[in-house]
Amino acid sequence: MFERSLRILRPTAAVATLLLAAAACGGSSDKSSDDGSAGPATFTYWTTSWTPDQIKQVDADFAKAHPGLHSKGEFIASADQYLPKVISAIKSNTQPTVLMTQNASDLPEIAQSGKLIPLDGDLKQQAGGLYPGIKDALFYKGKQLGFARSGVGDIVLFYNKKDFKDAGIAKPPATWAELVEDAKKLTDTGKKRFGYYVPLGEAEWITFAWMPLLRANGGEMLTPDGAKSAFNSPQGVKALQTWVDLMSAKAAPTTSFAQAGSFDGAPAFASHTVSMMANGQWAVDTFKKAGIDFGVAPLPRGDVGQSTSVGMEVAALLKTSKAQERAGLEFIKYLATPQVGAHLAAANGGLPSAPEQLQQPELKDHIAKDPYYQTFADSLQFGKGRPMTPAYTAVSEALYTEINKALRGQETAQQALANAAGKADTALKEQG
Amino acid sequence: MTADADAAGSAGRVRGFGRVRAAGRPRASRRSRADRRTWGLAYLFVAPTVLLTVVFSIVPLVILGWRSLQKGNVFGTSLKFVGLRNYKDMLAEGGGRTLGVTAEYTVAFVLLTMLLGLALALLLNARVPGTRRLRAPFIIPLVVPAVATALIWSNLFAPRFGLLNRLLSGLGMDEIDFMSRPGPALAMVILFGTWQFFGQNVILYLAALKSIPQDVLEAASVDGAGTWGRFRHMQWPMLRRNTLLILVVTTLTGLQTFTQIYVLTSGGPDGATRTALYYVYDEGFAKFDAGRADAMGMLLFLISLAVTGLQIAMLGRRDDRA
Amino acid sequence: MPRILVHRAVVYTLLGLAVLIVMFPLLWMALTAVKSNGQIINPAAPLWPTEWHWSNIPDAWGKAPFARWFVNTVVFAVAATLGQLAAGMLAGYAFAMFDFPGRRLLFVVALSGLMIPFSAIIVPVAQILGDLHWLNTYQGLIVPNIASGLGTFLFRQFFLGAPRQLGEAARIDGASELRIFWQVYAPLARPATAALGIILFLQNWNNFLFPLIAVNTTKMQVVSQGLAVFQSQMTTQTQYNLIMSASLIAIVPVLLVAVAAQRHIVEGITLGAVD
Repeated sequence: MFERSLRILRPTAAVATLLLAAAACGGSSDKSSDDGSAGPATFTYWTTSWTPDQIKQVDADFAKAHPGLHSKGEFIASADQYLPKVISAIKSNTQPTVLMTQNASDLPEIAQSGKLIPLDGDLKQQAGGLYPGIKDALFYKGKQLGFARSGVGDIVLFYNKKDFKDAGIAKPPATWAELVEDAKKLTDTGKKRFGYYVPLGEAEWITFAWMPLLRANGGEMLTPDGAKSAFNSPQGVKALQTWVDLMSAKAAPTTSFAQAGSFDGAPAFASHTVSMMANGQWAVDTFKKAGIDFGVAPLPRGDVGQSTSVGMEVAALLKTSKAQERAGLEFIKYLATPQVGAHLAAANGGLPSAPEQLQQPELKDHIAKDPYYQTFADSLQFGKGRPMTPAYTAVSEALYTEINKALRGQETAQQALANAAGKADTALKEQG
Repeated sequence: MTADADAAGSAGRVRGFGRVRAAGRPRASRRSRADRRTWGLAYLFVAPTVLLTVVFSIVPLVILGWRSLQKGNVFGTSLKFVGLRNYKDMLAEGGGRTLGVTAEYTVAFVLLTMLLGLALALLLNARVPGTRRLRAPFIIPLVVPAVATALIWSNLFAPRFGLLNRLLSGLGMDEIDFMSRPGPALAMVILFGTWQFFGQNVILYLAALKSIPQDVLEAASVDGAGTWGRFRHMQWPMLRRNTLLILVVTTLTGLQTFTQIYVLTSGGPDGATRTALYYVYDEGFAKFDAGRADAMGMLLFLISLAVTGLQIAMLGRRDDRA
Repeated sequence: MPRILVHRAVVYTLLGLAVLIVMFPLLWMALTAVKSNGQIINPAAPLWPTEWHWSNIPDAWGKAPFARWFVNTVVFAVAATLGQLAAGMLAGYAFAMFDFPGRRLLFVVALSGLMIPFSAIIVPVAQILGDLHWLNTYQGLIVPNIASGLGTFLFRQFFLGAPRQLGEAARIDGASELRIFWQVYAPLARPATAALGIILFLQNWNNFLFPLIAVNTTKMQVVSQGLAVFQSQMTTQTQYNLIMSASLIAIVPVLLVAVAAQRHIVEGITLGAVD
């Protein structure tokens, strides 16, 4: 639930979604009368991640905290399937007051409808408390389009403890160069055992998993003004070369372990085909259930430091009635309080969106019971979200398509990034 | 997709009916101009279908056509008339390729589902005890949500430990990477689509076979016609009209393939399974290029119309001669 | 061996093989539904369940309101199917039997619905439903689905092949056109109606994109939507076995319909077989 599209991340989310379209639909059919006065109000919010039980709990807690205000949550569809629903609702004027989306880069486009209310000013202080990489990902052309509630996801390095011991490697690699060396040591071609999993195939996940490598080497996805791509740089080439080297050294499987629309390759680690992989918190449970003895560590350091990619669910305010908008804003502020943030992270899963949430007793207790949590939470300090641009999907597609070609040896890293940059720049020009 | 979109229909120059009907058919007289008194009833009969189609399909199509000539966001708040530029952009930016993929997919899908549909209908229609009970299995894939089967199918085709690859390596053959190699990926989604839909053709062919009078067939067996001869000379001519229907419906289903692609491959690798409708969805709802999505939607409609018209014109004419 | 036995053996073998191949993914689904999660997640695990977790199925049932989804879906699928059959039979009959000005154009119109990809017109359709104030209503869910190009086309093909003499004879006896339709030809169309009814029902049962757009309230959710939501939620908890169990639960009623219907197709066909 933490990523832009679970599709990407989890095996079936896509699927689920897919078919999508699933969805349960929520609706703001019950618009309360609108006279602009403060007072009782009922409003609807749409989520793409909470279960019905979680929604019920959130609604009850919010009503208790804000007597007179009633939130009505609906799970409308999974993350990669909710857009037709949202666009149709806005067109027919049945949109919810609060929309929670895992694809923050959809918000600039939704704002074009004129029905999205930027949160500038209203949540300035709360936004200031967020992890910097998360906060930056909420702004488009200077406007704050939404707020990141807790329930964030990032990626770390998973490693198979037994394999490390057998290969005589004492600790997880600290740099990407070390990772490549370790991966070679861990590879046993005869047994079809590989050191690392480089994600093959074409999906958003490939871009998401490559960004940390790019950024750790000092590269960036876009120029600071967001008008052009910036990944076609020496840093970018070096980042991609690391993956290409792993492939050509046969230290990574040459077949894709994609499953039902999810490209993170979790089955490769779960089946003990690879000894290391980058993946998110959702995979912990998978690997535990698969009976793998594993540890987690922050992603390795590059030339300039560490980085990870962050996915989040962003709450945006949509125009409905004045009373509902006011209530919806209260709801977002409510979600933004450290106590509620900590509670939601502990109860519903995912990471905090602001460091302060980590200090809350409820989350502390939760972390004490989960040996893996701290590593994920610590990585947030150097994590960054996807660039906020309506052209993000097109940029990402250009990138992962070309990366896949480079990994297959059909292009060099330089060619791949140059081609991707050409396509990305066109998309940015048209849509950015 | 709506239920209807999955099915299909036709149009265009319909030779098989109307004033051009071959002379000599008994109904020619009834069709005379004098029969004006049936007009009212005829309009009454077609009214529900025609009116609802106009409101919920044609009007949206006209809006779509109009929108395809404009650039602007998906909400239509900043439209600018650009003529055919969206069509040009769409064809230049990968849209042309998706049409090729759609054609490959559709041809394979139509051939497989129709041949399998006919073959199984013939088997199920064989005068052998117990076959009636075997009909249900072929209907079931039609209703299994693709969400559910996608996981199963990816297990079947998974690398190394997927059933297929376990079989291959057990036989000492090379494994196949269905997920990231273009050819195998396309083959995989074609198989998936065929599995899901061919049951529909089994039903339609079976219904057609059942309406062939038994005495005709029995007369044929008395004459000593073999299984093939019976099929070729007795059954096939009577199946023609239905074959046209099935061909049209199946082709339209194939042209509108989306779900199988979405759940299994998301159009990859390298666009090898990116069909026209996937393009519509992806451009419109993921990349927000409403103009290109609308242009492709419109083009896909026009192609469907042309292909259907062609099929009816060609097969319908033979039908007349038969 | 007598020829007839060889013939039977061939038919049984081929059919058995086909049934096996067709049912295989579903059998696998059923097996997966009762596996432990660990076994599903680990691709290297044996294919046959090592432990049988029968409780997965009641667990899945308890986690979502399947009963209500079924009721909604039955209401939707039955109403839409009946509407499609009625409208399709009337229109197909008129196109096959009557000659009237504009027939060719109207036929193209009637079939055009099938050629328009729904996902391309989602936004305008939503707007029209909104303008009619039909969102979140039963009529909004059902009425737009009633025009069926497939139904119209199939019935037209059927009636084109129906014997003319029956109608002529009735006409000579002075029967009205309405009566000829209702008492002479409509009964003949039973096999076509049965086959089409099954196909349309199954399509309606599985339709999710339209209900997604037309309905905003959980109260009116149908199985296809509900299942997709359930899957996406269970996926985040890596409960694949529950997803498979839920899919199984969702399929069972349809399976029963299919098994019951196969007898019906036969009867309808036997009763109506005339040419």
